[in-house]
Amino acid sequence: MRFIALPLFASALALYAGDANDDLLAASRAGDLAAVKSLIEKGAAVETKTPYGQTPLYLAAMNGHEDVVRFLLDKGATTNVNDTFYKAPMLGFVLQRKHWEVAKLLIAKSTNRDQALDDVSGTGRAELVQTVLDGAKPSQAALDKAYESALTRKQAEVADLLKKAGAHEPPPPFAVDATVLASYAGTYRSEQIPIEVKMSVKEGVLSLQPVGQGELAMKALSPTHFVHAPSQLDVEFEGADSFTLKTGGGTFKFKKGAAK
Amino acid sequence: MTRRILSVALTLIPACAAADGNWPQFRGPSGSGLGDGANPPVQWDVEKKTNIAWTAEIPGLSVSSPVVWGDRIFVTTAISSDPNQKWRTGLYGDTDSAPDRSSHQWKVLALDKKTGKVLWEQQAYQGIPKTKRHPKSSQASPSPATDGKVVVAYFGSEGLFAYSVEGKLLWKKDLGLQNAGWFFDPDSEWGAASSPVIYKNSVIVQCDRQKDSFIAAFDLKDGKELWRTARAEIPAWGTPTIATADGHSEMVTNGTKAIRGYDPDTGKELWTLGPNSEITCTTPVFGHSLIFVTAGYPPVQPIYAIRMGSKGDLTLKEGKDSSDAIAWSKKTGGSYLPSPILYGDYLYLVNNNGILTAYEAKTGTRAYQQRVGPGGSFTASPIAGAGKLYIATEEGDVYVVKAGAQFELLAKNSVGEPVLATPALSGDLLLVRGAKHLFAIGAR
Repeated sequence: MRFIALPLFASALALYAGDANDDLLAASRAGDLAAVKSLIEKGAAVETKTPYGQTPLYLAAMNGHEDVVRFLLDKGATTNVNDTFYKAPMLGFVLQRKHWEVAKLLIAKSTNRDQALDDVSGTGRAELVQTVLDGAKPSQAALDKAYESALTRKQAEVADLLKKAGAHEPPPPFAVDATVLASYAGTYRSEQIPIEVKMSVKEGVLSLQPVGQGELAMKALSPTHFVHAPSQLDVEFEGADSFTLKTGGGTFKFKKGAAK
Repeated sequence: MTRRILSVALTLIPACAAADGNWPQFRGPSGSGLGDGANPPVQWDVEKKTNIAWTAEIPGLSVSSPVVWGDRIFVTTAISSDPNQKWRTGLYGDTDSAPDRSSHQWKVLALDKKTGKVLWEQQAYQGIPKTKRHPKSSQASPSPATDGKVVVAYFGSEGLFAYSVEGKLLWKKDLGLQNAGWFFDPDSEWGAASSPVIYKNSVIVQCDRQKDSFIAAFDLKDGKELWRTARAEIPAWGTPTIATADGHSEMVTNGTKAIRGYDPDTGKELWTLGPNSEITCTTPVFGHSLIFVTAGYPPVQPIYAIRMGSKGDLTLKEGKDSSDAIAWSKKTGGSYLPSPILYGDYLYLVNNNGILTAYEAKTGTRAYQQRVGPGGSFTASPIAGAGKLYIATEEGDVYVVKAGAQFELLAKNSVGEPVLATPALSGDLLLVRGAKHLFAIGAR
């Protein structure tokens, strides 16, 4: 009898913990500080996760609940969380939704300074970049990358902060022969994704334009290798008729000309 | 030979229904989008009134499609007390709901098909919406359905309403909170969009929401619940399709956790298939003894051609793209918002950015992939008739493309205002619902 009762008791506890964790996730998302406090006092796990890998802090932060974020940070919740679907860092949706004060709280606690700088540099908000720089210094590579992005985006105030923090001037683009550049011009399609990309040359610079979207001036690193730092696009030509595009963790092959 | 005859008959089932001029639900007969027997114009000019039979102003904001029975057109709408409410069109990935918490009136309107004159209108509900909407959706997104006697309008959290075709309220049902929205953050509510489907004496509604999703059938006569089947699903927006062949019917639903087949008479689950996208918006189509289901939210963007009559778990084994139950499949290329269309021997998919891809329906071999026009954003589903595909853009253009193995653009027309609702066909009329007007395109 005792052998039966013990597993039953353990199961009941696990069920309760599961419910409490679900409730904590819901309360954090809703910004219900009283419920968050109560649930954690009753043993709900600060690092519990949704099926998409979002923690209570992740949910409170992406919804801009500053008081809940402060409380969870005080409880030691980690900021170093990427969700499992979008693979987005905690700061990603916070910045997209313009929760600037929450962003500052997360940056101040962030242990991954390079990631934090990478996340905030695209916003063009100098106060966020300054918050990153106020903590432990990011790596030289991260500083240089953020600086080049800021220059490309013409974010003078951010670029100035990064320069003062020790960012190096980006190397000049590789001088690609005009004939080689011209050979890349054309419309490309991928078998992998229904997107067309138009390559053209403007004032000696290769321009990449997904059809229906804006143009991106690509920086040449070699006769075949081009990047667009702010968008994190990496293009490697295999010849005049095809290239490989790397972006967002994906690799896509493109070929010139009309698809069948 | 029998199979061949059956195959031809399958293709013709929806076509015959549309030839009456009836377009009874979202995407017409059987949700096919097909209006063979119809002969709508290839070109028109709204400003010069060339090939414009009439234009009717429809108040409010709605992405629901018009439906037609006999000489009547039925439309639904939601009228905000805030006159500035509109869609945010274009290609973007933002997830936030539209900032619209104003009081609304939900209405059903009947129009005269010959003149566009409003014959009757009924207010189904009034109040502040119980859930928010996506910036390019509306509070009246599901299309109505009719069998020529009853018109059913589904307004999500605001309920299910049945009227006689003369406009008398027959019954209404509260189906609970339909908080369809982003799987990643339920506070980003986008609103219900799955349309009701009439089957025999019942109306079937797919209610996929954040918790306790279900699909249910209600008696057309009095709204009595005939069956209800729980669905272990997160929010979805596609409309169920009832595929019929040789006296056998199966109802197919798109969904994230699984694409499912059901017995539409009982709601019993017949088969499941995965994997599928985290957001599913498209409506299945059928023909050639196959059911075609697509979804397009990355990274999983599948296209499946499922053999009718299958049972059990149809999920393909690792590394396989076909099986006894799956004629062919693709891991990428599925469309996101516009539903696919099967017309003749080809399955056509339109992507949100206007890239049209045609596949041989029986084999999945790609016939062509071509951009429709120089850009734009595409939400409405394509429809087809008289050998042509009609593809509307959010910018208000309607491209007419010749059906077949090769891409041929026949015309580009504009209605001069955003189009997000899927157009309808009725006889020689093409009905295009814009942001403010219903355009009856055809000879006067």
